[in-house]
Amino acid sequence: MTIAAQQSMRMRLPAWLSAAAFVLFVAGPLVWALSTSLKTEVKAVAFPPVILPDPLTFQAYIDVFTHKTFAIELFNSVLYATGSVVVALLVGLPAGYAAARFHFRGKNFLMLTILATSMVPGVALLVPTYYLLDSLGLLNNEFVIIVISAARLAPQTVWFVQNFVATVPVEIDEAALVDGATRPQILVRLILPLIRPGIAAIAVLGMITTWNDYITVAVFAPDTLKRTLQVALVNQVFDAVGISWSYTMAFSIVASIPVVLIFLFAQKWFVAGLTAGTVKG
Amino acid sequence: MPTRILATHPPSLRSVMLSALAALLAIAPLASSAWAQSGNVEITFATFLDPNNKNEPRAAAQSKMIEAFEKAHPNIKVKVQVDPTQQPSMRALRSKTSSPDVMRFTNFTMLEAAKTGSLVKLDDLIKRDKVSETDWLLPLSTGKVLDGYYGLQQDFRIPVLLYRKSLLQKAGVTPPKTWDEVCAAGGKLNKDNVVGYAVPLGSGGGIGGAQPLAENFFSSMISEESGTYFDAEGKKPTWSKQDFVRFAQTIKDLYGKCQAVPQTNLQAGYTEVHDGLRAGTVAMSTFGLFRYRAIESGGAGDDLAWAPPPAYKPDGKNVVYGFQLTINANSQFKEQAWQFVKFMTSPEAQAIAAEGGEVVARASVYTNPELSKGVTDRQKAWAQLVKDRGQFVNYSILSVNFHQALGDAMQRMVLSNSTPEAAYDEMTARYNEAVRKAE
Repeated sequence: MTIAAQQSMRMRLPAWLSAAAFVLFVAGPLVWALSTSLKTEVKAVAFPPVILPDPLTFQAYIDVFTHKTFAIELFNSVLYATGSVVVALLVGLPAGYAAARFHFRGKNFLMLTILATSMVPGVALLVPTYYLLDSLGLLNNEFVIIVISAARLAPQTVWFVQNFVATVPVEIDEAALVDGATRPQILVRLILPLIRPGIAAIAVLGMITTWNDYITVAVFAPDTLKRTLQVALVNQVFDAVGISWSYTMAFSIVASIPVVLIFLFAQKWFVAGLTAGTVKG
Repeated sequence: MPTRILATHPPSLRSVMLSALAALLAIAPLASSAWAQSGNVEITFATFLDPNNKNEPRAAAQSKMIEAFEKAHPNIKVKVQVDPTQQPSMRALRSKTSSPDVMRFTNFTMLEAAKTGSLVKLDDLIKRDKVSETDWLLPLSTGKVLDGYYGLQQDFRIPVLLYRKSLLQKAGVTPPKTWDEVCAAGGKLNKDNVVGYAVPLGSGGGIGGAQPLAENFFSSMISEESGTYFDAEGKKPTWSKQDFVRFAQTIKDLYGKCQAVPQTNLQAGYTEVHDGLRAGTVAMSTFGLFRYRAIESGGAGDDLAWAPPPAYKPDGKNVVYGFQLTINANSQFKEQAWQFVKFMTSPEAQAIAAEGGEVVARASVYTNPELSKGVTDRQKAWAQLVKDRGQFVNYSILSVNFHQALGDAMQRMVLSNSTPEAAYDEMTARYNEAVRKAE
């Protein structure tokens, strides 16, 4: 190895060591969760603790997948996450486009108000929303859960879409208008394909947010058949017989897999979407 | 003419679907009213026992009881809503919703629930249907709150001493009967990564604040001689400063002078003590008897044993509590809900509940040969303990706030080595502030 190469390696060594330490710090709990999920219930609480499961067993995962309500909870999680993103995009795309392209009196005030609504903590709205839904007989209603989750995503969706649309030259719209296209046609046929990475980023963030949400479903849909994986997971913590750690860890890992897969699948677009607005012109 | 029109203009798929939807919407109310008119009713029962939890024998017993009820009452169906924390049920009461119809509440949240004004008062129903007031381990009247009966008792719990036999044998100690004996025994056991006598001051596994401390220690220690805890309104504590100081000094000594428990227990709650007893890293603790089977099957096995709980005097009184079944005053099916509550607390149904390991509330389940077939010797011994040493007390309507204030004050006392008097002042000030805000 040349002297220059050696010097280069010495200079990068601290960075590598720091990165390795950070990865261990982050990955440590995940590795421990995986290890616990593969242990028997007795070994999961044995002292001194050991990292390698012995005996190694997949019983906790079998218990998760064969649990009577697992399929329903998974379905509900997918339904609420997907539905809320779809509704948020249906509302946010036209609104963001309008915010980017049209100029009207009070636009800034309106946009700031939209942003301000997303700063109200969801917990503060729990009680009035509960009263409202109960008086309308809408508790335990999956469509209501989708609408509430979408309403939470909508403000940021509008702002993100506005920024993404702003990166598209307005001349494209003007040329299309000259050709006789309507605004909806311009949005759907010209703008959307150009801001696809941005939409992917919004969709991924929205899905992760709704997937991980506990309080909305726990409060507004307490029915066993309407609950999600997150609510079921928290119920494990309040189990009347104490926490089954290997089952809880297996459940947590299984509940995280869809989100991880979505992110892995969409990461290319996700990164492109987040950086799309950084270079203008 | 109509035929020719149909032939030249066949209905589009859209119109067919719209027509079908309209027909469905028209039929649906008729269908539901037919169901209702036939007298069939579905009531919702909120309970912490999840029927889908195959590891929980009490849940299996609950399902059997519901099945038996539905067989005896074919027009009433029971839908279970899992409510581990009682918070959704409390929320339903406060917002006057009609569901759930039947709810389980612990005795220490009964006053809070009754004060919402959304529970049915059962006095007239008990009289009307001649529900026994004596066939209970403790008289039915001891479960009254405010001005009457707002629930029927389902089961009883009394704190017991749970311990690992091998650890006590190794240290040459016997299960302690008094706090002085705990001090001596705990000190001998507390070594080699084993907690001698766990005193949880944290909130893990509970519903807020230092619930395990209050439930298994404080409530019994403070009321052992006086027999009272909070006033009938659930706002003012009825203990004296002197009694509190004695309690706090006992806790401080266990952590300090006796060396019976390490400071790592300051943040321990239900979960940590439960897992410690399972793993053998906790030698003994005063804990809930309802956790016995889970700890036994979760790692402790035959090494787990129990003894009557320690007290200031060897046979000192301990607080008893359990679950009561209540009826939502806003329910549309109050009579059906009452039939369900009456059934679930009947000796026949309670005999089924006993198979799941509960210390059921009905006395005849332990004495009637037909009913006691599913009752183990251990359950009989616990039932006897409830009768001999159990006493009901009133609880705070702000139990979470109270438990939080209690736990924080105890932790601060141990960590900063301050006095029990200072802990009393801190706890009292914080709790009074919480009461003032609630008013």
